[in-house]
Amino acid sequence: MNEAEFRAFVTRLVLCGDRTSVRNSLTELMCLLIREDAEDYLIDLVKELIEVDHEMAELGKNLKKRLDKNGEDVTMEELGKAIREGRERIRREAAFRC
Amino acid sequence: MSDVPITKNLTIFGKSIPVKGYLCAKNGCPYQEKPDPLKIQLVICPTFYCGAHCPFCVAAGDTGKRGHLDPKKLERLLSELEQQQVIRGISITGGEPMADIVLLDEIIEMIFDICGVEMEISINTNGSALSGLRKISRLPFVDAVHISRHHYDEVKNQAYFGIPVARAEEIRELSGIVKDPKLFCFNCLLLKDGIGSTEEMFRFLDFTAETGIPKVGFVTPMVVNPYVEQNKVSYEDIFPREDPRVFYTKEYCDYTYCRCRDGVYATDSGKLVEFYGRETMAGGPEYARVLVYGADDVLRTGYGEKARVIYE
Repeated sequence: MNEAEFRAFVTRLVLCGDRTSVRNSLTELMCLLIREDAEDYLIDLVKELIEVDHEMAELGKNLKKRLDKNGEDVTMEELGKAIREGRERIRREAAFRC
Repeated sequence: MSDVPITKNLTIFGKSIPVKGYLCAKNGCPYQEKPDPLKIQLVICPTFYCGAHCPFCVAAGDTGKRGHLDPKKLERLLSELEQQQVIRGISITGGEPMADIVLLDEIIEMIFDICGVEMEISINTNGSALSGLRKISRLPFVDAVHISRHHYDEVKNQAYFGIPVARAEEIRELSGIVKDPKLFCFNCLLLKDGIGSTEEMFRFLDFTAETGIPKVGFVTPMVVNPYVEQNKVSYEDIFPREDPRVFYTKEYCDYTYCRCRDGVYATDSGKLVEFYGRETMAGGPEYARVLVYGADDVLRTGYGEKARVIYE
């Protein structure tokens, strides 16, 4: 998977459905990227959204909120922690699978 | 070849068991040594009875035997293994583990009581008795329920099993009442007379999204008979390249033994479905990849004739 392919995938999601469903699917994608240990793609996703337009930039920032149960914005440090936890989950899954 | 060990030894019931000593190579990166403490997957087959007649099954023609494991013996075994701290997760399979839902409930209860609710448990079912899941008292603690589903078309799917299995409506209803719908995963064998092309795979993924199931495993069947030899399809041959509907997240390789690739699919309406492809090649490794406790109350170092008995 290269950057262009990832961009095509995200662009397709952005074009699918109304803003609420786009927000839901992108939020879900973000959670999946964290769980799948795809940190680079996660950063690309936020960058990609910021490039689309201002409204999407807000959406990009809001994606991080999903990581916090209280709905408050999270810091990059907390995001990093979630990613590390995601990695731990991946290690368990890999061990489970293999 | 790197200096990463192929095997390490795990001592279980005083016996030294060679197990996998490395982690699969991820995304083309080198193999890495498996960190200590070593642990291994335990497979429990409550019964060898299945009732289905799938033409691709390794046990085809030999799934009619009734009988089940002795819960008291399993309890002793689990207590021993827990004391030795060698189990990292438990798969409950068969036969059809949901054929006796009371026994399955008892086993799951027993595992959590002995090993704690952190123990990862997955159940593999053909879906013929799926509604029984409602009777599993500790279902919220179960990690995954893998439902065999080999076609999106109800008639074609049922034809593989040769018995009535859960239809989409029933699965949809169940996924709507469980606390975590991510519990469910479809397991789909890739076959020329079924899901055997990229377009069929996309139809299956759309069906999966409509049914409310979040994940599908597309599995290349192992060659166990002439039917499979003629019909098997490799996931590598049908997983599309450069298709905006699909995004691959990672892949693993385990020498010549097996490989897998994970991805996510977006439907036209923007719903996401996770999927993976997996292929296990013939001629597995010499070391134990799993421990198998069967309905005959014997613990072995895997399946087949080569497996060693380590507890009975």
